[in-house]
Amino acid sequence: MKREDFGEHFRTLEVDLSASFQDVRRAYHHLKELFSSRSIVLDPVVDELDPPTRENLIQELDHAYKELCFYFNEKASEEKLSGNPEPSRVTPPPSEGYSGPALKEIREMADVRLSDISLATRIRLEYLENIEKENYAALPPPVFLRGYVASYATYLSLDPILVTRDFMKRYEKTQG
Amino acid sequence: MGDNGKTHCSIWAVAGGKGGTGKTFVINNIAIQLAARDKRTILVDADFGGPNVHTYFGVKPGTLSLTDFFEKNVPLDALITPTGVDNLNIIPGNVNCLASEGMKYAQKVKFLRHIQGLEADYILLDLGGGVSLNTIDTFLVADKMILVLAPESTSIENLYHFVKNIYFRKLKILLGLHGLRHIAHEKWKERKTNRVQDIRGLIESLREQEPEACHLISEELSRFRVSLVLNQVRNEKQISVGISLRSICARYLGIEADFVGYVEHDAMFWQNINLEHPYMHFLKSSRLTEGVSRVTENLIAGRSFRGVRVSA
Repeated sequence: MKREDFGEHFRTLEVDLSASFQDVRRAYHHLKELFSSRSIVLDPVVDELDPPTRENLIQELDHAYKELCFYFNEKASEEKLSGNPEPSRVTPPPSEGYSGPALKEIREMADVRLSDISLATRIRLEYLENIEKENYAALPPPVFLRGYVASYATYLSLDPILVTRDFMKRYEKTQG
Repeated sequence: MGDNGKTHCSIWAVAGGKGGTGKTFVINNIAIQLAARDKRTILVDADFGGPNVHTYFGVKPGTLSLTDFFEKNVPLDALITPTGVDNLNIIPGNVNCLASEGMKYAQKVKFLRHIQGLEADYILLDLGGGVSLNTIDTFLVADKMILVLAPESTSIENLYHFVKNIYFRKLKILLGLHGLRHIAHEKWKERKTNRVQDIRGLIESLREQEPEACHLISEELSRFRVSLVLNQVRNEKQISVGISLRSICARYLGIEADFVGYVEHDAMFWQNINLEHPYMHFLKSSRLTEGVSRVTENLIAGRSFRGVRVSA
């Protein structure tokens, strides 16, 4: 699998061909946010592109990111086969946002044990389990919880900001 | 450039639509940074509407200025005034001239020609705000067109306006060179019926009649790029404005804009701006010197900004 074959997708996300997955992810989230919401940068030119063109552009970004997720996953598997340590598996964001169960699914797909995360992050195993179960009553207050979720996300190479945003939104809903 | 065996010099110009974004501040300090790298630098105050480069360096008014060039034909070399900084000289602006924006065409052409004849490694042009033809044409002569903006909606809006204006002016000049200005104008007037949406569409529509000229024009336009400097940055989030602008200019306006870096806001510096020799206070502010130094390095190397984090 050659990087050059995915060149078009790297270009769509405005990153170099040598970009790491982290660069790709950062660029994708930046551009997606830029073209899908209002901002001081976009507002003055918003009339220059008609809405369908803009919608197309966002779809192109999504498509490029999906393809690159696929590329980096395959690359990671190849490296795993060749005996390189710690391949990082990457996943497109779940459509319903980062819920506890979605995080669990991503973790299992990446073949990561909860006890490893606990060891690396020094977060108690039962907290991690309760995060995945969204068993809020058994979790610490939000100031701590947010940090735990961010650490969990970082361990899985997910964007901690996006993951905590989704997770804490769900949490806040239940707190009325 | 570099005619008659003159050593090759690079012309950098700074402009940016809106006033108050810190164009003069940024270009003055880029000049200091170039001089500190042993580059012979001449900073020309071409802000015809409101010159004040001389004040920044504590040069007393009354020395020769561009007014003498325009009114008394004093050659530009004679106007070169030393600053307190090694390797850095300035040519003070039109201090005592009324109605200075009304420069005549012949004067403008002469000014641009003489600037290119100055002997230095770098010639920096400080242009004023606004989109007057004098400003735009002077800007287009530069090897590097630097735009300074602040992370504010008003500044961003004027920046787009300015970029579109200079691009359009460049196109007009190119069309004129190839004798196509008239048909282009007609096509543009009838753009609804010709289904021409933008500048690229306009060139495409001319391509059938004038394939060769259009090829040359597209090629020239594809080399057209501006460099963006974000000034008065107060927090990390604002840096993303620079990154976003690059994307928007490319996708919405079809114009290459490199984001070359940002300069932080430093309240201490602005408290000292009214003292004598303001540039001395710039040199004392590590935040400002670091920011401008990175911008200068990137401009010299033709690199763009690479996610350097803003200090807390």
